Amino acid sequence: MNRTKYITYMAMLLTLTIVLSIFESMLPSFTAIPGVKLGLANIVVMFTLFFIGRKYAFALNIAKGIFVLITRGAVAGILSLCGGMLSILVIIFLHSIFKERISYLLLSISGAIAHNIGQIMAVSVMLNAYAYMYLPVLIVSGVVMGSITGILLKTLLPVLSYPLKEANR
Amino acid sequence: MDKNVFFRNKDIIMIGIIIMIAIVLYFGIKPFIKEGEKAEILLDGKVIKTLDLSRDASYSPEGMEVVFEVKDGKARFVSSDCPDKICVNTGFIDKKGQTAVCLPNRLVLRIAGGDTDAVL
Repeated sequence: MNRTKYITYMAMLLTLTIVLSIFESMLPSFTAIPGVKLGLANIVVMFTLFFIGRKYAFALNIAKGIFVLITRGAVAGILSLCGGMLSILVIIFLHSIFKERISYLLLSISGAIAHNIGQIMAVSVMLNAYAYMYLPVLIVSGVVMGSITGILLKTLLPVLSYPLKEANR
Repeated sequence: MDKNVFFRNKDIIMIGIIIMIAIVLYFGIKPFIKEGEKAEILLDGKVIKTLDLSRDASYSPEGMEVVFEVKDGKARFVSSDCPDKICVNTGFIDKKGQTAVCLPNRLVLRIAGGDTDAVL
C-alpha cells in the first residue's frame, strides 16, 4: 500500500473508532455500575494491533484519547488513554510470550480486562482510592465484553481487512 | 499475527480461572469496605452540611432546588434541577468514600467514616 492510501486507511480506522465510541455512549447503559461498557472501539484498535502494526495501534489509541479529551474533558481523556495503553501493552506482552499458542478470544478478553484495570488505576489516582471496590465486577465485565468484541472482530474481519487485501493483490 | 486461532477449548478453563480470581477478589475486598458513619454535602469542594447516617433526615441547601435524604443508614440525592440527573440516578450510597456528584450544581454528596484513612 502506498503512503497516501495508508494515511487514508488509518484515517478511516480512526474515524471508525471515534464513531463507535460515540455510538456506544448513545446506547442506554444496561448496568448501574460505572465502567461496565462494551468497548466497541476496541474492535478497531485490536484489528490495527493484530493486522497492521503495533505503532499504528498506539497512534490510534492516542488519537482517540485526544478526541475524548477535546469532547468530554480532561478526566475522560486521561481515563481513555490509560485504559487503552494498558490494554495494548498487555495484549502485546501476552502475544510475545505465548506467540501462536494464545487464541484471539483470550487476547481480546485480556485486553478488555486490562482496559478496565487501567481505568480503575487512573480513577483511584485522580478521583478516589475507593475505586478498587469495582475491580472484581470489572474483571467479570471484561470477560463478557472482551468475548463480545472478540467475536465481533472475527465477524468484521473480512470487511475491515478488505483494503489490505486489495492493496496486496 | 495471522497464525493464531480464534478459539481453543482450553480457553474455557482460562476464562473459568479468571472468573474464579474475580470471585476470590470480591470476597477478599469485602471486609475492607467499611460502612460510613456520616454523609457530607460539599458545595464547590467545601463541606456545607454533615448528616448523621444513623438518623433519617432530609436537607436542601439554601437557594437550591436540590434535596438530599438520609434513610436507613444510606444517603442520596432525592431530586435536583440539573438537566442530566446523574446525581439522582446514582441512587443510595452508604460505603465510606462513595460519592454522588452533581456537576451542574457543583454539589458532592460524600460518605465519610470515623477515621479518614482511604479504604484500599
